[in-house]
Amino acid sequence: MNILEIVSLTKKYGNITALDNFDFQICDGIISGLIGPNGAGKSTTINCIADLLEYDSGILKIFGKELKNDPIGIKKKLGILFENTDDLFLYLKGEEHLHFVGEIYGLESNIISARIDELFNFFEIESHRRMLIESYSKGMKKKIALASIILHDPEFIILDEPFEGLDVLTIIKVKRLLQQLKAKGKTILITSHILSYIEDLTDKVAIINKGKIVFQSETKDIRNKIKNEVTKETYQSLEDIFIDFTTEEEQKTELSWLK
Amino acid sequence: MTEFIRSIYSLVRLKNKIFWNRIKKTENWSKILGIVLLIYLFLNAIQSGSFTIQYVKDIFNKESVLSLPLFSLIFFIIFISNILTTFVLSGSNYSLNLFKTLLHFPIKFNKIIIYEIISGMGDLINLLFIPFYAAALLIPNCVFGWNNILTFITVLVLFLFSVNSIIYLFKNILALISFSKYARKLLFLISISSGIIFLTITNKLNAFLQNTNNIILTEKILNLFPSGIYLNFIMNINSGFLSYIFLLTLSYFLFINISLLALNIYFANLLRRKNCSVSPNKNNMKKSFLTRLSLSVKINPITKKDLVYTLRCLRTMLFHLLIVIFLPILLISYKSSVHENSSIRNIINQFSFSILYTSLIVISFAGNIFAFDGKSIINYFFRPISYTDILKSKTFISNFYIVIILFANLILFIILRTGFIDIIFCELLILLDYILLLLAALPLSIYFPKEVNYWAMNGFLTSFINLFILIVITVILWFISQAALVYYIHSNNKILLFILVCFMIAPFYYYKEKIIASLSRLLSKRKEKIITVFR
Repeated sequence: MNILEIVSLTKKYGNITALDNFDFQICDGIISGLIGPNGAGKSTTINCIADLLEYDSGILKIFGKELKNDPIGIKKKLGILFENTDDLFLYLKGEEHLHFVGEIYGLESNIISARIDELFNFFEIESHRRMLIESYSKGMKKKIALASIILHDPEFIILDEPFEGLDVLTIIKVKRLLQQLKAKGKTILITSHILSYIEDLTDKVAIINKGKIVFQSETKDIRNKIKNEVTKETYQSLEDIFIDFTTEEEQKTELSWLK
Repeated sequence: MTEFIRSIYSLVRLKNKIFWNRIKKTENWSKILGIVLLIYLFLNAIQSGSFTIQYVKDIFNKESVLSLPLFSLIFFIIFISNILTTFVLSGSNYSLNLFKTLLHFPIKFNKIIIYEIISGMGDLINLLFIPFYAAALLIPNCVFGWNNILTFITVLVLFLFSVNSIIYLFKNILALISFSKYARKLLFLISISSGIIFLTITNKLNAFLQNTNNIILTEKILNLFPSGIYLNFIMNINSGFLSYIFLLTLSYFLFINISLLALNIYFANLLRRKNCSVSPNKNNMKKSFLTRLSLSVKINPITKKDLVYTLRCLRTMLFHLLIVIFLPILLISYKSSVHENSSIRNIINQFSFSILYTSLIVISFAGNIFAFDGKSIINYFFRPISYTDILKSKTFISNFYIVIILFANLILFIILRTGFIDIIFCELLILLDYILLLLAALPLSIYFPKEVNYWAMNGFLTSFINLFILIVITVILWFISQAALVYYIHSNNKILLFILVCFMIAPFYYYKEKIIASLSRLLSKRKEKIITVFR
């Protein structure tokens, strides 16, 4: 079953087309990766899924339901990590922030408290529990944002640049957490500029460029993909594929004034 | 319904927590001084409100037909001032970020709108007006009982809700206008027509108010507004028909609040659906003449950046707006007293009015205290980093700016020989208040440790040359506008009317890009966010 189904989604900002008849599907219980250069349309896609943006045309179904028909019901089963951590309630303490999130998702107070204890422990930010989020470092803000999206046990998790600003140990922890979530049957979509993480973590990967999906494959198969039909050369890595599908040939690779 | 109330309660609690966390974050000395400052502002508001009521009561006895209409008029002016001040000064970037963050959660858009209106009631600028509204209780020589208190609180809350719904509606409508491709033309048209209407009314107002019947007619019209209904309830708070009046008032406010809420939800949804691509953005604003000129001057790039920033400052417009609104009222009041062989009674009358109006101006200025993008009250006075930076601090400049304006006003009154001893006295008091606050703030600001944030370092510190330019421009503008208004009221010259309209709309025209950008950002940060996301 498809958890996410996007068909011919178009979103324009004035004369600029951010999503151009965009098609994308995600199956139940897998980790998918969506990668692309800056301005390719990744964040626009996530914002459309989060119901923050209204798209111009197309179909966007989550859990088999059209998003427009039941945005609140669908959002309750989603956990979305946005790239910008300043979108947290900066003048709440870490604990208060998670409490508010729990309340909004309709969790009982004792359940919220128990989960908060576990989360602070898991992300090793116990000492910052009663400090204002504003005073957190970028990495800690990311941890709180991550904690707040899994607090209500969502079915579908979307992570926009989840590893940005995190230290190596936390990255390893988050990677393990994602594997655990997958094992429990959750569906996950990750966007990241760090291609090696995407290659390690995901079951399926898609490359978006200029508002369209230009490449899609099972991650395990990417090294078997033929790069050159004549020589039968295959791709060496996801990076190889990414460069091939997103870089234009006439693009300059050197700056004239640098000696 | 329970779920609805629960989520609204959660949202209100969220705002409350944020507010207290920010207060706790400041140092203890700052907290104490902040509280003292707030008490001062509240007392000032209570004193001016009650002063005015007491004087009007002394002049017109209870049976006088003019007593209630006059109160109604005063109340309406306060009501409009509240709407205008809150509209211009409230709504920092932080609250817009809060709005944006809320949209991430599964909360219905309509609930966020209701929450925004409710939380707007707790806006500090709004709270400063409550003493004026509460002072109305002095009119009917109130005898307090539980019934009176409970009904009064209910009506006051409903009244405040309607005030905030109106402010929110204005924001919605103006945000919608600012998104239209005709925004610039519309804004120009609105400023010209409001300028002509305002000046025409100003000129006719004096003659109109000379007639008792006209004043009574005005009161009847004003009674249809929330301020009139509120005052009407206060006047009857001691009567035997309290429950009847209360029910009527309740029905009126329920009707008006529900209608305004429906309109607000409709407009906000309309805004949400609008194509954001036409949204004006600070980054693509056209450069004004003065900005272009300052960019061409050969000065160091940091000062140049500060200069451009200062010239774009929307807050300067508020001062122009206040001249336009309050000064003619004072002048008309003066003119009428000259014609009617000014008696002691007239002078007292003017005194109370001038105190009221100048207090409203002070409160509007005081709004600056809360305007530093989520910084606490005390940061306004205590932000300078070290004594060497004081002269560069925008905080200092704003304070100095106000002092200079009041000082210029004072001198002008003397030059024009208006005979406004009471107003001069009042201005002097305010001037001294400000100087006192400055004197207290400067040494303390050196002594106490301060928070130096990104904004304080980037753009908010401005050079001394800007201060000088601003003061010169302001003093000249004030001199011209006040002299011209006095002359206009005395001569009724049509050409002068035209010149004055041009003069009045000049600041609107100059700041038009900034106004449009600010208006569109007022409510629709989500649209800006969308653009940012895309970029």
